[in-house]
Amino acid sequence: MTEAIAAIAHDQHEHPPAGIMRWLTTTNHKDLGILYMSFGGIMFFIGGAFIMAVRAELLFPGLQWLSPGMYNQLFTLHALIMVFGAIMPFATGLNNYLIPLMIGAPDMALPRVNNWGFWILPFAAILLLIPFFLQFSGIGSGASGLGWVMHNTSLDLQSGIGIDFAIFTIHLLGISSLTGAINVVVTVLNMRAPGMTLMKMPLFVWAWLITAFMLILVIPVFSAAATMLLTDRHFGTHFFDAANGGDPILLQHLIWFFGHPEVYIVLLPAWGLIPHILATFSRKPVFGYRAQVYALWTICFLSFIVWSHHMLTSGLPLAAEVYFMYSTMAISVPTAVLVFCWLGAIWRGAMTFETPMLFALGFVAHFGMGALTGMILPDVAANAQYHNSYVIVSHFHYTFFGGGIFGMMAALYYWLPKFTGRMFDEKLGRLHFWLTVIFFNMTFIPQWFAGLDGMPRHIADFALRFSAMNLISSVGAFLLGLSQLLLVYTVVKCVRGGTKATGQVWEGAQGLEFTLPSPPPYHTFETPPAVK
Amino acid sequence: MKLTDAAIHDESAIQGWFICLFCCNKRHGTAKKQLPLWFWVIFFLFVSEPACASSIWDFQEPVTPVARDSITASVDFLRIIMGIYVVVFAVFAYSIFKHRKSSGAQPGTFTGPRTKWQWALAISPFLLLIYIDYIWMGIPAFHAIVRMEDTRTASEMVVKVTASQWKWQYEYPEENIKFVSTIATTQDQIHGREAKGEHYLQEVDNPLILPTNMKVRILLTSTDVIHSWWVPSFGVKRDAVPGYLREMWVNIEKPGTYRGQCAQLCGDGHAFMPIVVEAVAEPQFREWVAKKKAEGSAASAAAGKVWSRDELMEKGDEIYNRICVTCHQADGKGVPGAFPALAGSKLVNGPFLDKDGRMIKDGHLDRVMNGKPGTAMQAFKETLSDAEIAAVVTYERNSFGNRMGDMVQPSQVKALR
Amino acid sequence: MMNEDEVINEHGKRERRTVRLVVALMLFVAVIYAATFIKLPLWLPALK
Repeated sequence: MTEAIAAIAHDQHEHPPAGIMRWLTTTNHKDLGILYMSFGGIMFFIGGAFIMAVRAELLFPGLQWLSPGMYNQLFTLHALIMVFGAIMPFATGLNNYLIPLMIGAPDMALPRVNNWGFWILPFAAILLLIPFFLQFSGIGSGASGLGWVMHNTSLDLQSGIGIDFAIFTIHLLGISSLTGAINVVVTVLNMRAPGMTLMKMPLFVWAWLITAFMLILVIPVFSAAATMLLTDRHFGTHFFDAANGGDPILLQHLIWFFGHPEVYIVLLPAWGLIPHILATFSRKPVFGYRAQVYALWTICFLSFIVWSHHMLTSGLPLAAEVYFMYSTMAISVPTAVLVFCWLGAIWRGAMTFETPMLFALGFVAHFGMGALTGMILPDVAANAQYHNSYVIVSHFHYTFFGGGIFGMMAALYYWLPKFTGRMFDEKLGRLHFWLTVIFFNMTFIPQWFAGLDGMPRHIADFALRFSAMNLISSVGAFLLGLSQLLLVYTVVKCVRGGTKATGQVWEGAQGLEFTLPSPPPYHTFETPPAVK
Repeated sequence: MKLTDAAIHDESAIQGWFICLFCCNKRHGTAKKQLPLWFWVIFFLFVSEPACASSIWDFQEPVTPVARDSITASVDFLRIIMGIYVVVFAVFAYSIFKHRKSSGAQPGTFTGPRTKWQWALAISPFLLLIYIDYIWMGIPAFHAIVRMEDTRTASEMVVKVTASQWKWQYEYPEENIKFVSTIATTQDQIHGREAKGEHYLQEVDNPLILPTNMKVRILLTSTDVIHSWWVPSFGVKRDAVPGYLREMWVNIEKPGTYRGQCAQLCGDGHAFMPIVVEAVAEPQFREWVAKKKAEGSAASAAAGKVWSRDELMEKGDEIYNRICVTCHQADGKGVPGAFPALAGSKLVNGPFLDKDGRMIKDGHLDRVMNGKPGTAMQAFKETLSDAEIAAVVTYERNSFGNRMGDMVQPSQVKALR
Repeated sequence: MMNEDEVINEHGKRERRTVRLVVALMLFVAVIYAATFIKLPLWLPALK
């Protein structure tokens, strides 16, 4: 009887609908993985375009072509799009495609919810951008110009309709992230192949499990804060409104309670996949598996109790300042464990330097710089010089871009042949890597110096002493942006017809996903594999 | 970038060590053990000026005890992390060069430290890190915070700073002096129609004057949104939060002019609210206080008398072209879609007081005194005097083609407060 | 190798675990969302 049912189901599945209906209605984790990653890629370029406009204004002192109001919108949208539209969806795409393959499951636990979780995203992106485009027809005052973190409460309350759209977007993004997170937790806890104990799971799966827990804990806080802001603005509540007994600092606490774990949410997937790549191209087993699992959990736990280091100039009581300084410094220890394990991964290996390995090594070098610059920030007395200056901008771009984006690019190059069944042009990949490294540093090192010299952030125009640094940074940014077009070309060229890829793709690649053909069949592991 | 004595000392010390290492290697190493020239070139670039610059030279000169604490802490910490990075990167680079398949390396199979020596090597960096965080930097950091937050001990003077969009108001409550400090850089400079002055975007009409060598307690608040008061040379930055009174202190050790900027995104004018502090010796400070007080009583006397139309128009012209012109433009036509025109506007050409002498809501006087919440139109009742408000309103009603013919007396404005 | 009944039983167990996990996580989310509306400084005077 079951064979008959299975046969009918099989028949239906072998022929998914064609064309656009396939992509709209798919519940297949590989399809959804591709959708999430493609969406993330497109958003990367849109977010990049916004910041190119910003850097164009910052080429020279003076206001050349942007009004301050427009400038504020552009960097706000850049940040919201990059964090919530590019990197998080791309990482989600990776988890969708790879987690079932890595644990030997046929799909995610909740395939239909998975589909809804994805399709919220394009809708949310459009919602965010509507007020931006409407202003050019004279409707409304533009999109949110409050920074992605919106923690100048009274300014939020005073602003135009753009922030209401941003608040709705945040609620939608929250729902999408939560559905994704719940899906990951249930899949990982419930659907591993027999024999795959938790401590046998690949690190990428561990990292995503922890990321999912963090999302579940803090996204509701961010959403609630956004709801409260909305009701303060329109429905007569006074949560944050100082004039009526509310507390503007409360909004900062709520947003940063989300905001700090959020940065680790962005980084954890990269931390999970880098060891895979380093191990493969060093032809060695993963180094320090247990240490890394414990370190990731420690970072997760610590990330919830350090949030006010983003608020050290807001007038916290002395005890709070001291506490947050010391608790933040503690994070350096598990982070150092990770770095140590990355070094252990390559030490005495037999390395080759294909593009994924270049990006993985680049990740270690650049994220390392970002993490170290982060170490000096919680010193409260010194923090007065750094807070809201370009020192911070430089720091978080080394961690977000040098860590997060390099990690995603490493992953893309590493698994692209698995997804597409074709190898990409290695020469183009290497060129893309070197151009990215050179221009990334050219963009952000001058920003570090400008910040030390006293340049505040979020300013549309700057004093003459910052001219040289801004000029170099802007030129670097333009070239960095242009170099990313090479990535698009490489991917398209690969999909169109690179050499055929084998199942294992890379010599030395381990993991269940590499036991499958490239590309894997539409349905995989319908019978769970045997895991020793 | 400023050259300090410490910087020159460190730079020479590092280059001195470099020369020692280089000579030692050349002299004592055999031909095989001598490191190749390209290595020394890269090493030299790493330790030479550009690399050192990052750790020492780019902070603005510290002139208060808090600034010296914070800059010392920053520099020390920066040196430590540079040291850590150099060591870790060296290991990283060494591995990349040596452990390659192309040079025939055989991959290891280890997954963690095994021998006691390896475990010691593994654990010691973390012990060092904990030592750096909690003892080496952590203990001085604690003392620095305590010192920074101690605003009351031995403070000799109080200044109150009130932030608004997009200017600062400074008050000396003990002397009854109050004035507004607005950016002095002209729109022409900002939009490239005029060459930019030396202190572009960091100059104001009325700087804050403070005495040197006195502990000054600074109270900080805001009338509208969160701003942040930052003067890098003073080493202090504190948010100005509406509804809260924050505190910090400075003790400026050297006379001079110190410049800073608002450090919290506060709307469209965020980049255009600089801070300028002139620190002078105490006798000069007292002279200035006396002068300001005399001006102040003259101003309140001015509010009491009856002004002629010409006096009002002249003063109004000066106020308009200093403050209002930024948005409403020199011809009063505003910027369509952004800033409303005053020329021919219903509001300007309408009544501002009803028949009982009360202010009409959303009338001309209401708009100037109380602003329009939710827009860029600020409230000026705290930052302009009675005479100034009366003058600018009179001016607007009789300029740009508006011909209301009426006037507003400073005493009328005073009565409405 | 499991026989047909064991497969269905195993499948059913996993399904029930899935449902329980999902419901628990969603409740957790709802509780955190609601709790955020209660002003934290009431509980953490050190932050005031």
